[in-house]
Amino acid sequence: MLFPTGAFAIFLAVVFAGHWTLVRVAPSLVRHFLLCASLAFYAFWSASFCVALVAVGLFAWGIGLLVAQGRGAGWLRAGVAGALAWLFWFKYAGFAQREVASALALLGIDAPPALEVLLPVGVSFYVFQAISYMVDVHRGHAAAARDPLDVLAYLTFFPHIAAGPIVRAAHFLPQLAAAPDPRRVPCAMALLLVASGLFKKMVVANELATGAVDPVFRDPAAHGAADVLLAAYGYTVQIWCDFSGYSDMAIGVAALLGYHFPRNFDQPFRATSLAEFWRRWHVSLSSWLRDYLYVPLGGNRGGRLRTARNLLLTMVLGGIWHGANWTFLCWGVLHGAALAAERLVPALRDPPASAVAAVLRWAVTFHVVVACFVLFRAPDLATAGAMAARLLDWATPAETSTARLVLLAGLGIGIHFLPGDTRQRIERLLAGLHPLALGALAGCAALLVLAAAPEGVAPFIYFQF
Amino acid sequence: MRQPWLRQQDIPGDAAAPPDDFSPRSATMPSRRAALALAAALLLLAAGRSEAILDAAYGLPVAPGTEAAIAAAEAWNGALAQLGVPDAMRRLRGLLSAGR
Repeated sequence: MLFPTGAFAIFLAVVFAGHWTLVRVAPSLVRHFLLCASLAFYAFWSASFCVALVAVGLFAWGIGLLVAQGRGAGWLRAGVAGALAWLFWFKYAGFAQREVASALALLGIDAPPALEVLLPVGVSFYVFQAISYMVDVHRGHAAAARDPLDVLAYLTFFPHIAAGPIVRAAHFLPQLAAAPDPRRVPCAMALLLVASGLFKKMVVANELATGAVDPVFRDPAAHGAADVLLAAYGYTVQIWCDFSGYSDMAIGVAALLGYHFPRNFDQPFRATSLAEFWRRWHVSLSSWLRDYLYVPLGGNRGGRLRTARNLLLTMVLGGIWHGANWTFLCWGVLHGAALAAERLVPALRDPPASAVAAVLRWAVTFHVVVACFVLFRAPDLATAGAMAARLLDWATPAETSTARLVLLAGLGIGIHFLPGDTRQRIERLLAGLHPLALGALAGCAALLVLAAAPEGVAPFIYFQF
Repeated sequence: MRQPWLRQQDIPGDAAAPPDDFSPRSATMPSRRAALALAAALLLLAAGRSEAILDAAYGLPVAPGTEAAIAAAEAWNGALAQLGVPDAMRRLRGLLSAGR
């Protein structure tokens, strides 16, 4: 079930009514209700995936109990290894089978029939959250849940099950411990987030994808430099609008039910360094990688060279997490190398000395990000190379570069330079409205978005990870 | 911190985290008033998307209740067509598709 659909609107209305009724009349049943609603939401993709999801939750709960009983590091290692094995099976079994079949073919041996492995929606996100739970219990940041219902309700909570944000156990479990306060629902900000997420996804991301990005990445040789440039900038804006739009809607929907998820994107394209970019982009994943991978690797302890190595390793692992493809590996290597270079060269690390230097640093950072996203989007390295080669061809007339698409891409970048508290300012304007007027405004905004968007609903990019 | 709008900062936040959209100053309302707002938003959406709802109803698998769902969708779309809503939405869509 996708957020911008009628089915989800009906689902949300039912869950909203049921949840707040239970909060008032039977608060002890709220977690049961949330778990049932979340499993029903997830079952829209596949009922069998629900069983797997519950199995991972029960596994994490069991390990959490063992870790909390003082059986510590050994069980934690087993738990993290088990969760990662689960993830790697779904992510890499297909790739491994193909590689083995190719190797056997070279030797003239027929490969056994391949096992088709379907990737469960959101598997990375719930596995990362399961690891977060086990490690947080071990570190003493979260108490081990006595009731498996707590861990299951946390892992399966429908607003973030499919594509995050990755919410830490230490942040979310205390919210489940007591039913949310029915006297205080942050409705204006929640509806604002849902409306802004809808706009980013349906109007900007979907239109750039179908008009500017997909045709060029499908066949770069048929397009000239103008189209290729728009596809590169367009994909950068598309993936931001797609993913941050999803995050906005997830945060807004959770808030409508009285639960808080932290902000996941913070105007990332205004960053003037790669380090700053990663503090603003997919914050829940970058901070997860920082706390559960970079810091255990040694972090910035042990000198600049060791720090650079740890940054490179973290980004490479972050890259191959996206999937078994050389493009993801190269994306991770490039980001890791750029982060390491910033650490090693003081001139790149220190704040810019003047406004001109700041603009230059911004332009360089932004274009490194754009170039990396071309690698990320390309189905293979050959396509990425062909995209780069076509940048020299200014003779082929532009086919996909319409004024509307250029404006949308420009809008996606321009939004980043609005004041950081723009949403809070709008919220203050909405705060005094009667609920009916607030709802009518939200409904009109959603209708405008749907009228301006292309037909159909494309899946969110990060569902595949 | 736990739900910032509840003003219960009993869980330390991530010091490196970006500023949040929610704070103790976030505007809040009781859940019943929020239900009114959500109902108004969904009602407007259902009105503006009556043709899409009808298409979806026609696409439902044959099952108990399908006929009733189709009848309700037809009645809803018919009532809104008399008010000219689907036509207005089509004109709006045409206007906002300019340059595509």
